[in-house]
Amino acid sequence: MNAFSYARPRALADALRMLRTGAASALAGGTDLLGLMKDGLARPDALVDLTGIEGLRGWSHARGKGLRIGALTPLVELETDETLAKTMPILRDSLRDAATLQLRTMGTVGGNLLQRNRCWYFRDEGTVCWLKGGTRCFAVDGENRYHAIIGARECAMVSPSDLVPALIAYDAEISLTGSRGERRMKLADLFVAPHGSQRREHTLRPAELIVEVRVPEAALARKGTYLKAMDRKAWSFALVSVAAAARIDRGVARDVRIVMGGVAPVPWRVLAAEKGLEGSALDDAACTDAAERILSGATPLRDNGYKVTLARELVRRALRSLVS
Amino acid sequence: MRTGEISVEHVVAVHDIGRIVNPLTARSQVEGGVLQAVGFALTEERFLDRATGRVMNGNLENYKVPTVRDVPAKITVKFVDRPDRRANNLGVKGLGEPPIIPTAGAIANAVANATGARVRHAPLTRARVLEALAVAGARA
Repeated sequence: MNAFSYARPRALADALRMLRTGAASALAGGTDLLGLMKDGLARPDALVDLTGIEGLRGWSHARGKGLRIGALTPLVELETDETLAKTMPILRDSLRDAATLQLRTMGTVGGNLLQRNRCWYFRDEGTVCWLKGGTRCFAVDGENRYHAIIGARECAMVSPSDLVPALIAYDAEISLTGSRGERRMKLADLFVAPHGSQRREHTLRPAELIVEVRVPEAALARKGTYLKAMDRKAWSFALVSVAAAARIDRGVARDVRIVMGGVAPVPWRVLAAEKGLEGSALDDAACTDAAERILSGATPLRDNGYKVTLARELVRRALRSLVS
Repeated sequence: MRTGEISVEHVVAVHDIGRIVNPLTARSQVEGGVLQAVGFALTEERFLDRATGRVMNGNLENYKVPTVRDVPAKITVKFVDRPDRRANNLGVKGLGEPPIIPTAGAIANAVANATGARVRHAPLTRARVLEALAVAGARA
C-alpha cells in the first residue's frame, strides 16, 4: 500500500476543499476502499474521512415529503430500524443477504452506491484490463461465470450492489455536492456501462460527494420484493438479483419497476417490460412473459448462460410475490 | 421452473472407527468432516485463467467455503463402536478424512434422487445443476 495522509474534517466544506487537492479519496466505512488500496487498485495520497461530519448520517420521513437517507448512514441502520422496515420494507429485504453483518455495520449507504465492481480480472493487481486502462476485457474469453449477460460494452463487469436495485425500484434520487455546486439526479443515472473514454462505472465527478438519497412519497406506497441468488447461503455477491415493486390497486399493478443486479454493468431495467405490466393482475403468464422480455437481449458468454435461466425465474417469482 | 439451488437438510454419517475413545471429539470430527464435504459438493472450486494459468480466486471472497448458513439443518452421527483388535492393541482406528469421502457423492446422489438430474462434476453449482435439470427435462 502507498503512503497517504489522513484527515477527519468536521465540516462538509472542509472535506470538499481537501478532496480537491491532489489524488485525495473520500473515506466512509472503508469496506471497499481499503481493500482496493491493499490490492494496489486505488492509490490515494490523502484520505478524507467523512465520518466526523455532522448531518450526513441517519434518515427521516416527513409525511408527504418522502424519505431521506443520509449518505453516511450505516447499512445496518436501514436493516434494523423497525419504523423504516414498515415505511420501506425492501431496504431490509435487500440488505439482509448483503455481505456480512460486520461489513454492513461498517459500510455506508453512499459507499454502497459507489463500490467498485468485483470482476476478478479488475481486482487482480497484475492484470491491466480495459477498465484499468488496458486494451481488452479478459473476461470475454476468460473465466466469466460471474460476468455480464446483457448490456455490456467494452467491459463485462456486473453491478454488485444489493441496495441499488431496491432503491431504483422506488425511483430513488441522489443529492450531490462538489466544487460546481449541488445537483440532484436519478440514482439510476449514477451508473453507466463503461465504454469509450468512460473507464469507470460511476458518473460521479472528481471531488464530488453524495450527500443523501431521497425516495419520493408516491413510491413508498408500492409493494416490493428483493430476491438474490448466491452460490452459497451467505456472504456472496449476487449471481443474479432482482428488485420488483408495484402499487397494487384493486388487484392490478401500477407503476411496475423491475431492476436487476449481477447481470449487467448497470442496474438492469427494460422499460417496455415494465410498461407491459401496467394494469396487469400479475398472473403467471404475464410475469413469465415480462421475464422473457427483460432477458430477450441477453448474449451470455461461455460460462454464464445459467444466469439467463436464473434471471428469468427470479423475475417471475419476484413479480408473482407482489400479488400473493 | 427452477433456480438450481441446493440445500442440504439432513446428513446421516455412520462410521466404523473401532473403539470410541472420546465420543464428544469423535462426533465433532464427523460434523466438521461433513461440513467440509458440503463445501466439496456444493461450493468449493479453484479457477485458473485458461490463457495464463493465473489463479483467479486465491481469496476467501471467491474460493467459497461453506458458511454457518450452509451447515445442514441436521447431522446425525452414528458409530459402529466395535473395537478392532486386528488394528492395534487399543482397537482404535483413524477418523480424519473418512467423513468427507462419501458425503459429497451422497449429496450428488440425493440431488439425482430428488430431481432426476445427474451432476457428474463437483461442486454442484447452479450452472451445473440447471444444465443437468435441462438435460433431464429433455430426456423425460
